Amino acid sequence: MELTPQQYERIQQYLDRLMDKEDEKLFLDEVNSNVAMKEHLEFEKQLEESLLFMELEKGFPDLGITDADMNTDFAGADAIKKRIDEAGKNWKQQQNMNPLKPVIGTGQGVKVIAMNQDKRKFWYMAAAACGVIAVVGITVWLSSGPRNVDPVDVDDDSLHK
Amino acid sequence: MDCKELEQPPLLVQYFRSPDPIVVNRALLCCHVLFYNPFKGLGFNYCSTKTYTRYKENDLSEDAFSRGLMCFYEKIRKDGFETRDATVKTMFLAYCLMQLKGLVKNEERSSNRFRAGDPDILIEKKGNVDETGYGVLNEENDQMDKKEVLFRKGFELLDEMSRNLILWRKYLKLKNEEIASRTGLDAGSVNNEVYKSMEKLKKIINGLRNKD
Repeated sequence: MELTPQQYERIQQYLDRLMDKEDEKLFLDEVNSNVAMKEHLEFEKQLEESLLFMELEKGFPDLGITDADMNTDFAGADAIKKRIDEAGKNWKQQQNMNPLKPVIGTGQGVKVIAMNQDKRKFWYMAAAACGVIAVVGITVWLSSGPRNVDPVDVDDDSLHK
Repeated sequence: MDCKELEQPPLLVQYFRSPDPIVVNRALLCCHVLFYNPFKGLGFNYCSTKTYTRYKENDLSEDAFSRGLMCFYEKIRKDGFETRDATVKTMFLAYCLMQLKGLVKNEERSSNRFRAGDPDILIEKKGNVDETGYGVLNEENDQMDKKEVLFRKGFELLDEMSRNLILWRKYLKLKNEEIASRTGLDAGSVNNEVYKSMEKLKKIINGLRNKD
């Protein structure tokens, strides 16, 4: 299904962050109820990401970034690094973020990774729980003493015969 | 200072060059506000496609962000923001991604050294000859890069005009008027043409997906 020019326009405004919060909320509600818009928005996000990665492989020729620009060993580098670290800490405090936890970004793949890490945690916990249950089970089984064996009825008369 | 002001190149340069440390600190904080999450998303996706950086996404992305910001700050402070069509965001993300690429490369090297069992041997894949016997690993990585491969192939199959329209709009973020002056199109019809190009690309990619 094709988008109307207005729908396409709104997707661009959203992606270029030209919407205020109220508009953004209305837009996201609209996207959630419109499959074509949802699909196109996802496609554009993937496209933007793929374009960046494609250009990364080439070294961003259009941007004119040189190897020298990537040098982190310039005069005053330590001082600026400190200030950047400080800014990062302040920002995390503002965001009430836990620095140990990864931030889940907007890319679809990011959510998948975050989910995989949660899954990994779940399986570790499940394995630990199984171990505990096994140990408790064996302990209980061993401490319950010898099994009670039902005596076999032996007919003494039949033996004599 | 409103953080969004940093997306305007002249203001970005002014704030980065300010002699007032409070202004510079605020500008650095704003870089986090504006770009940290978008970059973290990219960084996670980039690292998670490589076996040797999986589960290190968080640390590597943070490190790359910090290094990228350092270099970006120094460059802007020294040379200003050259008008190379790109937006501040694209330029900034490019710096961080370049740093991330370097860090990932280092991880790859140490991973190869570790697997080779000899710290002096640095193994690189040469052409199609897999001298290391780690072809399986590379194939696995290739599989995970499938989305990027599809987009790349799709781009190759797209006609030049459509490819340029998408690149200028989505990567360089050019305005309609700028695209119009490059193509001779009417500025009012640029949006429509970009949309049509995207639909073409979508069809090609869907075709490639179905082939697989």
